[in-house]
Amino acid sequence: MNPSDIRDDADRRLIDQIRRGYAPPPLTEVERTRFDARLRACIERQQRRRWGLWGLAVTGAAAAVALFALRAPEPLGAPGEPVALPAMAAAPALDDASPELDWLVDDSAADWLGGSTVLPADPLAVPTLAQRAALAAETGAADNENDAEADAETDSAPAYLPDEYTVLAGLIDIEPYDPYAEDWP
Amino acid sequence: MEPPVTEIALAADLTRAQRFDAFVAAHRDRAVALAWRLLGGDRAAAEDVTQQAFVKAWRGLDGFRGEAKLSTWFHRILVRQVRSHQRWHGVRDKLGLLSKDGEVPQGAIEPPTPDGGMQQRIAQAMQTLSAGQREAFTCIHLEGLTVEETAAVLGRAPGTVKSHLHRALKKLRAELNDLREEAA
Repeated sequence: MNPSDIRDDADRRLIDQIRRGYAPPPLTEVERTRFDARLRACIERQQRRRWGLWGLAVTGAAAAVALFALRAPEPLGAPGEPVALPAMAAAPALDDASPELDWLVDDSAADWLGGSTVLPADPLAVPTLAQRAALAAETGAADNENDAEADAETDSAPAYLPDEYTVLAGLIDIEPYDPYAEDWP
Repeated sequence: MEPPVTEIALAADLTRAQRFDAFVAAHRDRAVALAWRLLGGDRAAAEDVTQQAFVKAWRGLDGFRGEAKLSTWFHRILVRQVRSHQRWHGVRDKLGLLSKDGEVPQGAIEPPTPDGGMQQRIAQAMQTLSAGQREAFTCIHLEGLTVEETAAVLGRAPGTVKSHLHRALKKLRAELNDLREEAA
């Protein structure tokens, strides 16, 4: 009690009357037992709810990780469509329908430089006389330097090496091919 | 005499549930009485509010660091719960969500006792006090707390508590003057 607020005994007695008159009836044993049971049930319910929330959070996190790990790969496009590779994606866009061929052969450059410059020469083509002369002039110096060695090798090697056709002709007993023979069939 | 609740609650050889049961047993009756007085005599609301305060105390018991008395700490929780209940009750009252027939209105008190309506008169006089005045008067003159303890429980400055207490006593003198003269 704070004595500074109480002026006299009348105040003290008034407060005593208020304390007695403004008081709840005491709890009975039944009410105490009921109160404790309700309180225990409420605490257990809250604990279950808290564990449930933790379980939900953990399950949600695990599901998110699983979905991330099992996510589908990047789409490759529909069947028949070209695969979009990074190098192709970085290439400049072309208007015509076959940009990959334009990458390999530049038509404008081939026309300007001449087809033989860009396209490979026919390996089976017989060189012309002019080409033979040019080749001989280009390789003549090297040949002259190696003439002595070449002559020595030529002397020790057989003069004529039969080609595959001649060997095969000998095996099957027919006339070997002689392009200079006049009566060869 | 109040049992040494702090010693019971902080004893190391008891489990947490046992310590809390001892804490509830030591504070239950007094907490219900305090809530009943602060809520104006609503017994059901007082028990609900006290139960919610005990649940909050259970959750916060691990965080209690012993800086204040355990009873002061719990009474502060209880007073906050009472205020929350009163705010929510006021909102529901304004919105008309309370049923007119079944629910006991705020401030209702039990049927008259054989004391000739004295309890109802005192209850009506207490209803004339503001919430702060009722809290200060109840804690100091009815629960026996000191001004400092009351300030800690109510979360107010001691000067504010004294001011509320002075005005509360002035109002009660005026409302219950006949009782005062009769007692004299």
